[in-house]
Amino acid sequence: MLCQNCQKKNATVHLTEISNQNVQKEIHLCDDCAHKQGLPYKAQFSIAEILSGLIEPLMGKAIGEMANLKCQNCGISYVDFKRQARFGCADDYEVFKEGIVPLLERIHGATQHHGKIPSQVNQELLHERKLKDLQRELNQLIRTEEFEKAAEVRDKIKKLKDKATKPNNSKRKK
Amino acid sequence: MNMDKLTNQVSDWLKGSGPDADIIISTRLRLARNIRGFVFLSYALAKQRIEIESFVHEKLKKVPFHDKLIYIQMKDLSLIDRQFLVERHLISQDHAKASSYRAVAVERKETLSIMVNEEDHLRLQVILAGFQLADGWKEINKIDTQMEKYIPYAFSPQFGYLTACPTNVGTALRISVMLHLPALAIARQIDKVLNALSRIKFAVRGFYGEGTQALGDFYQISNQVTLGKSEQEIINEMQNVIPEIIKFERNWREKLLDDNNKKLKDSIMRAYGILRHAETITSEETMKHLSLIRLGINMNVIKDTTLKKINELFIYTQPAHLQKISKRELAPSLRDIARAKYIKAHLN
Ligand SMILES: [Zn+2]
Ligand SMILES: [Zn+2]
Repeated sequence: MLCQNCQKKNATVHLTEISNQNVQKEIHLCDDCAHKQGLPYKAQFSIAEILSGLIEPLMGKAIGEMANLKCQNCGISYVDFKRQARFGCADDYEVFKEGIVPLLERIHGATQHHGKIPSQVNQELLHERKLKDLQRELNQLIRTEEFEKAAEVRDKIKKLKDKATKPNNSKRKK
Repeated sequence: MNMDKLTNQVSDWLKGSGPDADIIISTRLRLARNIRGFVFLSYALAKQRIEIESFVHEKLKKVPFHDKLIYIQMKDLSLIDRQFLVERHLISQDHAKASSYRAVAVERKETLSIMVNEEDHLRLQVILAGFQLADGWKEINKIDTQMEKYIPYAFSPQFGYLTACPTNVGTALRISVMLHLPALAIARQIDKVLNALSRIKFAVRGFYGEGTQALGDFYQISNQVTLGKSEQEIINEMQNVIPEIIKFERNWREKLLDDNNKKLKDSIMRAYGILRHAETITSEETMKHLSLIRLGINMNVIKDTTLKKINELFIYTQPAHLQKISKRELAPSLRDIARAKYIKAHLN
């Protein structure tokens, strides 16, 4: 890609004008032009750019099955998500889970929410869901013979079960 | 009607008060929320957008704080009015640009705003003067908890609050602290700060976010990670980082005064002189001089004007504000004249 300013050198600085985390406009400049414009800080890559970069390798691996995945609720496919870097509905998080978990790991360094829980969410249901998720993770780890990790998950499950037997601690507070 | 009320008042957060007001302009917290059962906006059809908007509108009439809200539909606003709301930091650029069934509810003191049909169904924002993380969180958490009784949020036990973009999921909490760092800019120390911040996954943007240039030496620092940490943990990290930058800026202010007392004083007073006497001036030049004057007030070099007045001037000399005050559309060249006149009237 050529620098937008001088149209001569290769663009190496890729900026996105952003407001409130919303991608607006991309700017591509060569080092010299970026320097001349006195850009005060390191270039920020656009979210879409980062995301396609992150999803790309995953796509290669799982392209067979993942590419055909489609959300029944909003109708978008995994490929649509990859292109737009936006979900079509809340269900997509479950439907495309396999692709999304490693993506979130790379963006946030985590895949499990630890913050506020809306009061409308049934606490018991929540607890059950967590247990189920962990159980599934455990089974997967045993299947792939990752026993060290499996032991960690087993501890987590035990902790959760212990918690449930004690009253009045369904709300997580730090 | 509604808009005139806003034009004639000064946003609470601009008043130049609050902790560390010499360096921190404002603390802003934003929560992204989507409503269970509706598709997300980038894939929503007009019909669905209308449904979401009227759903939210109805619910906002019922929340406990409803009588404090001014509800504005974007389609009812002129381009200038929309830009005015952007300049006030009440809506995003994106929200101003697209008109399709978007709205904003603004609390009378402009501390709270709720964008409807932005990237997510709801974007709650609380903005306070100075460095006020704890109070800001208390406020927005209260609003959010009141709203969730009326609006069922899209939430997953594993991923938290589900957002249209995976970069916001989890707490969906984005904290932005706006800092004024003129001494670090003069001393060319800004890059050091920015490099350190990027290493710990904090993002930095300019005054209105959109610009690549840090106009007026303003920097907005915000967290990037929203998943895997509790709200309190995100707040604590911010609480640890910002005071370091404040200290750095204060040290350089002192050092600059010692080192070349006359030189710095001279550029501050020259900036003051230009703004008090110019006949025509661009927004960019205004920001540059206002930044030095703001520094001058905080360093006791300028004593006959106030921080509040200068904070206001940063906002009121923006294009849409000038046109609202003049009550008519102005071409850029006429704006520059109106701007110079407005500044003169307020600094002399
Ligand atoms: Zn170039
Ligand atoms: Zn979907």
